[in-house]
Amino acid sequence: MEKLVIAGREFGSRLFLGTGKFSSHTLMQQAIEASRTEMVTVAMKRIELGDSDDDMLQHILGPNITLLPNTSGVRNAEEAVFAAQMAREAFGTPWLKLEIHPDPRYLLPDSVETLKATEQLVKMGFIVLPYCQADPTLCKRLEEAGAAAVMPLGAPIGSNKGLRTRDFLGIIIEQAGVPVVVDAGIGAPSHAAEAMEMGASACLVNTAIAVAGDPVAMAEAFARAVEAGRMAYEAGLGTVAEHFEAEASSPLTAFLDQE
Amino acid sequence: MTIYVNNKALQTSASDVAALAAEIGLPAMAAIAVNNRVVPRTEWAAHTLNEGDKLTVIRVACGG
Repeated sequence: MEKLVIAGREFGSRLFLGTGKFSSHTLMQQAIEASRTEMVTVAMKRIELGDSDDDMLQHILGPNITLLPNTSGVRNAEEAVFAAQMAREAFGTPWLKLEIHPDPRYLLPDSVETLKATEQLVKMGFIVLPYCQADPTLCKRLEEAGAAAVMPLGAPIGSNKGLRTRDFLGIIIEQAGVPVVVDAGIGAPSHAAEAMEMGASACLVNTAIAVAGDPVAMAEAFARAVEAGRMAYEAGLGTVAEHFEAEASSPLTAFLDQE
Repeated sequence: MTIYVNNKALQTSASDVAALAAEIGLPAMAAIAVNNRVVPRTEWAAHTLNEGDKLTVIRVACGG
């Protein structure tokens, strides 16, 4: 399979994993390993004085893992730029999942602030992967602003609803000059496979794996689905018939005696 | 002197950011801003703290 390249970095896996909602660090680590991911998102929080250090990062960091800090919690471009600088300092990486969602009910990204922040952060040397609406025009604008990839949503974060934005994702993929990572809403391996069959470059999954009955097995299932979907895309899917009529895949010449 | 760390008052004798980081036992991967300006780790020792400074101190957390 063709390797995914973002900002010059080659990825052997097209599945990106979020680290939220796992019931333990050990389970998270096992899921990361089972998913074979090479890109893992992390968030930031304010320390509490007297906080004991926790060893979360030890369960994430590995030779093939690129950390992708997110800006979750910011409400506008100004806060996002501040959060990005803090992330670069804390994690020593210019990679950034830019997410600006001021509305706590649907967590939908603010397109105006996201574009504004992308323009500024690219100039500051960040490798910006914006989480964004499945808006083809916006995705082109983000690309023009220097985004290293675009990450349109399939459905609201954590909803597990799948590719509700399917038709728009199709246009985004058709038009994009940068990798398209479908982020948010992917709730089942079949959703991820569908996105990959459509030509998405990668999928970012968190909730569907973290809250599964068996997160490690689910991580493996997603890994296979993403690989299968990509393989099918590269192999070239057959066209879907316009009319509901069958087309024989076996010879129709009779081999049984007919009257 | 009194400074504010993530909006909580803290009495400290630390005169610079590096000393404060040591005092509060900062984890390895963390970042500090003083009065909303990010202070790079290489400048922690040179950045003196003043009465009433407002610090934002962050660390890694789980997230998608």
